[in-house]
Amino acid sequence: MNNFDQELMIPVEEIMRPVQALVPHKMRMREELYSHLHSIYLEEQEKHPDEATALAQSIERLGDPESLRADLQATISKSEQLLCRYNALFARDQTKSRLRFALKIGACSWMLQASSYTLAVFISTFVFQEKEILAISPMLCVISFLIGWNTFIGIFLSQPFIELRAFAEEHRRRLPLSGFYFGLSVGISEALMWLSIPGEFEYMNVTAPQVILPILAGWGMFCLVVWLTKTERAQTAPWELLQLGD
Amino acid sequence: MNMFIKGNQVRGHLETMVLSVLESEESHGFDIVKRLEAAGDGSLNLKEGTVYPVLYRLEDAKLLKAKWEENDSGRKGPRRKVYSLTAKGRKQLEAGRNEWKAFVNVVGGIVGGLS
Repeated sequence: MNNFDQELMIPVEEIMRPVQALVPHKMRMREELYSHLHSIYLEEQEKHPDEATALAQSIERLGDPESLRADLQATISKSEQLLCRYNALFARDQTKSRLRFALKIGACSWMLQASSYTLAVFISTFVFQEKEILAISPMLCVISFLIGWNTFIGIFLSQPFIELRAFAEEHRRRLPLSGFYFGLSVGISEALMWLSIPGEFEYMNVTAPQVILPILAGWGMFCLVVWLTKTERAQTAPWELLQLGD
Repeated sequence: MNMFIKGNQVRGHLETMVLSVLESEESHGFDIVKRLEAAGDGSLNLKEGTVYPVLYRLEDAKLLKAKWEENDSGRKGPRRKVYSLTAKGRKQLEAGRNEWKAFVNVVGGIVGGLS
C-alpha cells in the first residue's frame, strides 16, 4: 500500500469507521467507496495536476461525509446494528494487556454459563418440581468454571498470533504448540467433567480417548479460529490502522 | 439559462432514476453516476457517494442484484461491484414511471399555473 492509496483510503475511512455494520458488510462499503473515489481522482488529476487540489475536488464530489455516513447507516438493519454493539462489548482495547482482555472474556463466558445453568436449575426445581437436577448442580458449577477457564486460555494464547502481525510472522511455528496447550486444557477439563459427574458415573475411570480426543479437537479448533480471525484481520487492518484526524 | 438540479431535489426519485439507468445494461456505481449526469444533460448536480445508499436499499429490496466485477477487463485499480436489474426491479421501474407521470400531471398542472 503506497501513499497514494492511503490518501484515498483516509476520506473513505472517515466516513466508514463510525458505521455500525458487520465486517463483510462494512468491507464491501469501504471497497466500493474507495473504488469510486479512485475513479473520481483519476478524472480530477487530468484537470488539476496539483495532487492536493485533485484530492480535495474528489472528496468534494463524493459528498458530505456526515450525511453520507447517516445514509449508509440507515441501510443497515436494526438487528445487524444490535449485533455490532454486542460484538463491540467483547472487542479488545489495544491499550489494555492481553491478560486483562483474556480475563474479561473468560469471566464473561463463565458468568454466562453459570447464569444459564442457574436459570435451568431454578426452572426445573420450582416450575416443574423436578428436584433431581439439584444433584448435578456441583457438576454444572464445575462445567461453567471450566468453560470460562478454557475461554481464558484460548483467548490468551491466540492473541499474539492475531493482533501483532510482526510477532505472528516471526513465531508462526509456535501456533501448533499454543494450539496444543489449549487442547491440553480442554482435554483436562473434559476429564475433570467426567470425574465430577455424580451418581452412576461417580467411579468411572477416565479412559484415554476421553482425554486425547478433546485435546486433538481443541488443538484443531484453536488453529482454525486463529486462522479465520487472522484472515479477517488481514482484510480489515489496512483500514483500521489508518490514522484519522480529529 | 442552465438550471442546476441538486441531489436533495431528486431524493425521492433517485431510486427510480437508478433503476431506469440500469434498464438497458448493468453498471457499477461510478458509471451509474456518469450515466445519470449525462441523461440530465449537465443539469443534474449529484454528490456521487449518495448513489450507494440507494443501490444498497434497492439490492436489499431485491430490485437489483450485484456481483464483483470480473478481473479480465485489464483495468487496474480497486475492484467494483456491478449492478443489474432483477425481474422485480423491472416491474418496480414500470410502477415508478407511472407514479412519476401522475406526479407531473398533478404538480405540473398546479405549479405551471391553474387556468
